[in-house]
Amino acid sequence: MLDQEPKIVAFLCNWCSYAGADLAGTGRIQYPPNVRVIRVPCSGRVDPLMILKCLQRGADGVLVSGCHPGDCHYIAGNYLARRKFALLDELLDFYGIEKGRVHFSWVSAAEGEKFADVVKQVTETVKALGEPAKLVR
Amino acid sequence: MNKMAGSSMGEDTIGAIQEGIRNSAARMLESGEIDVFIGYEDGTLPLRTTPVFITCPEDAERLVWSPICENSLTCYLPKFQGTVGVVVKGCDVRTLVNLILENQVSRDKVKIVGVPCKGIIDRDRVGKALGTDRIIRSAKATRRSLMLEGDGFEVEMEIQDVLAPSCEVCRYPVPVLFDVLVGNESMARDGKDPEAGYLEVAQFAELEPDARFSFFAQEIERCIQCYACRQACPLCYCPECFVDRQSPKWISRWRGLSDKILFHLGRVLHVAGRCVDCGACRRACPVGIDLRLLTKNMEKAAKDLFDYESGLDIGGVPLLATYRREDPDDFIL
Repeated sequence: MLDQEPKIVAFLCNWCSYAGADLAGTGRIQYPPNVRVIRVPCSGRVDPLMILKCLQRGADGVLVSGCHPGDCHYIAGNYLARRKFALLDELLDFYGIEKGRVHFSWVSAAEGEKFADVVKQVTETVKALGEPAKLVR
Repeated sequence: MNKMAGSSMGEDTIGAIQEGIRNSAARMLESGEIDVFIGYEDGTLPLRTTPVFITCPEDAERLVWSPICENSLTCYLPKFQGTVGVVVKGCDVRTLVNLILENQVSRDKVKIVGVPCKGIIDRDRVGKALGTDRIIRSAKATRRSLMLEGDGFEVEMEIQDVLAPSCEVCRYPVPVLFDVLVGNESMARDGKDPEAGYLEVAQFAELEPDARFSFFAQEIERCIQCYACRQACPLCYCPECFVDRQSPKWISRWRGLSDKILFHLGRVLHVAGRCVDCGACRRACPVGIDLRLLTKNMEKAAKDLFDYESGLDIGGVPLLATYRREDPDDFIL
């Protein structure tokens, strides 16, 4: 269990999840203040290396969130991202890095509630994992 | 006595393949089909062959073939403008298929001379079997055995015992694509079942996550970040590799283990769904890191998750350039 509040980097896609996070804000929905949001044009923009770099440079967890399948502004960006992330997930697990450091979610622009839930869930999981030691520089 | 008969027959097979390569090269150069032919010639050290670039038919005599011809010659292809003839083994041609799919090489600019492959030797294994203090002065390979001579010793080894690890589990020893096949398919090894190749990976995955991490940390700790693995890889062709980028600087060479790990994870991700397990990275590594374990796992993941095998279908699409609606998504919140 982590003593301090965990730092979580969230890559949110401009068209869905970022708007979802915005909706959570305007709707005054309470969620843990642990996420640092980075707005990206599409979940497909997120290079798995960015996720690893976050973990290396001190993030306790990473969340990548994009549009639901079929809703991508660029038609297929999230489908392509899904393949990359499936492989990244597999690689990190095989390598022995704790499952639960890196999360993926689909959150639409109308799902403020879901965004808050995702953040809660991710924060709890990351907190339970404790101090990250494996990739940190 | 059987062994003698076998080995002389074996020599003939190798000789026949070598002759076939020379003839194809000379013919293609003479007819003007190709501007340059890439093959192997004897290296300056025993147990080494070196890539050779032949431009006139008379020089085709320099070409050799033996189980020592380890380099993947396809790594030169993206750099050529003209039409190129190239010698490929079963694994090499799969990297070439990937290069064609990724628009790095155009199919009509390359003449593929396929060799039915018996597997190549691993010099580390030869060294281990021989003892590292003995210096090899000359080496001669036949289809089945390897004769080594040095100061005061003469040793014969079975090729089978010093085969490269990736060759042991090779699925496609006969090239899946070629313009000319030298010899015939029966000259190649038998292709292995995919499960045979994934056995090591599956066994390793049984370990506890912490044990897996410490194994990799221990291996990668030795990495000197020479990036020979990237250089040897026929599928690494980016004009500027992510490790060389200054802004953003992804990897530094002086920060120690964590940057080394990041490099290795990045490398594996970049060849995920493309790697054909030719083993070039492993052979190039000067400190003997088991680089294949990570890439093999990605190969298995691509097969398990997406039912995809890299480098087989010239009409296909690279794994990460396409998708299916029903791709696995149980890991997504």
